[in-house]
Amino acid sequence: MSTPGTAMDSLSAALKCNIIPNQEYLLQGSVLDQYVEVLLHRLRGLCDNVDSGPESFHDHELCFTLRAANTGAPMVLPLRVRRALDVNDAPFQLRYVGQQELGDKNRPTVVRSSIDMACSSTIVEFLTELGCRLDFEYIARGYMFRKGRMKITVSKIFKMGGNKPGEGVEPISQSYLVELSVLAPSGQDAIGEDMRVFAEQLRPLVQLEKIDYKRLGNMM
Amino acid sequence: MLSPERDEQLAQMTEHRVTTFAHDLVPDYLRTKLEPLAENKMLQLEHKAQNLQCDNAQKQIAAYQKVVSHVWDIVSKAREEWEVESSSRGNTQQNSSVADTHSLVAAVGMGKGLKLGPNPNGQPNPTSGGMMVAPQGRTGGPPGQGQIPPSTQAMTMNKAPSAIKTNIKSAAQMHPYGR
Repeated sequence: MSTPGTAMDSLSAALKCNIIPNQEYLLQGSVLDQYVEVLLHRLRGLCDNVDSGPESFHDHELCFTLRAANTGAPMVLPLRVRRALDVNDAPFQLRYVGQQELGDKNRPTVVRSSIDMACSSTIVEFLTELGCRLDFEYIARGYMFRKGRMKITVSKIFKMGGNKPGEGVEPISQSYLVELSVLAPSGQDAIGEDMRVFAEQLRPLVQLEKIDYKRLGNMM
Repeated sequence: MLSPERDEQLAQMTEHRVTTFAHDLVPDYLRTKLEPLAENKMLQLEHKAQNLQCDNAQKQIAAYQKVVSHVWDIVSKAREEWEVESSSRGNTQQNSSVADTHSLVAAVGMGKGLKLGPNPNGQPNPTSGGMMVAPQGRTGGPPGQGQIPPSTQAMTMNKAPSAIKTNIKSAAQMHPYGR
């Protein structure tokens, strides 16, 4: 494991054995501001971290894109950097999220490839040097719950206002974004069924659904 | 006489109420007296009733009726509340908005409404965050780029750009860094 060669070998072995959780199963919804307390209360009852209470977070997310225009078709590679605003020494997180697959009606969740890694604060400079351009950014503040392998986030999304995060932010809507997700190695589709059952328990407070980005794009 | 088998004749005679003449059922069928315990209880109660004064009995009946009607009130009130609540939950109470879901998902996923919209005069947008990698480095850039409406850009991010491919390309070609 000491030389890069063997590290690469073990990585490719891990990829071959399909033990890397690189698929994200996702359901999305929202809840109006005035009912968010009801939802949090229900989640407190349903989820694992009952004793410690929900974990709160306050993150700044920067979405970069890398364009390769020299090849025939313009390729756009999105990369996301997330950093905690409430924890000073937390590492930055770099994330690649692939195209989502909706699948047919029988598939309960959206599936998309997702690769996460922790990195240092220099990642922003690194990406810029690499030719990535900042496409958009936002602040997410809210709560995170866990239920087995499932992760539930309830977050308020803010548009950046001032020059520094936290200054002059402006909420995007009168609702909180609710996401239910699981990271798993590919092929573990059974988890989708668990997620569907869990989402059912949050109705009618939140309608967690497969949301088609392409259709959203057309609606705009 | 006793038999666990089905007896057709017996069934016919009893209009299919009794079909077998078996050990476990016979004592009940042939009983002409109440069960001793029940009989005892009945006797006690009858005795008590006979000894009761008439107006005393009236009083007890009145009290009993009062209690029953009170309970009836409570139950029907609870039921009314419950029905109102469930019907209002069924149709009117809205806890989430589909439009909000869509705008939030579009914002987080594609940056809708969050773009650092490049404006035509080449100045960095004053309202945009520009927090770490503001577009200053590219200011005064190609005017062609500035004229792409932000919404068009938003769509090219996550969609296979087909009709607007040329826009992107021309912008990229004029880019100072050749990207």
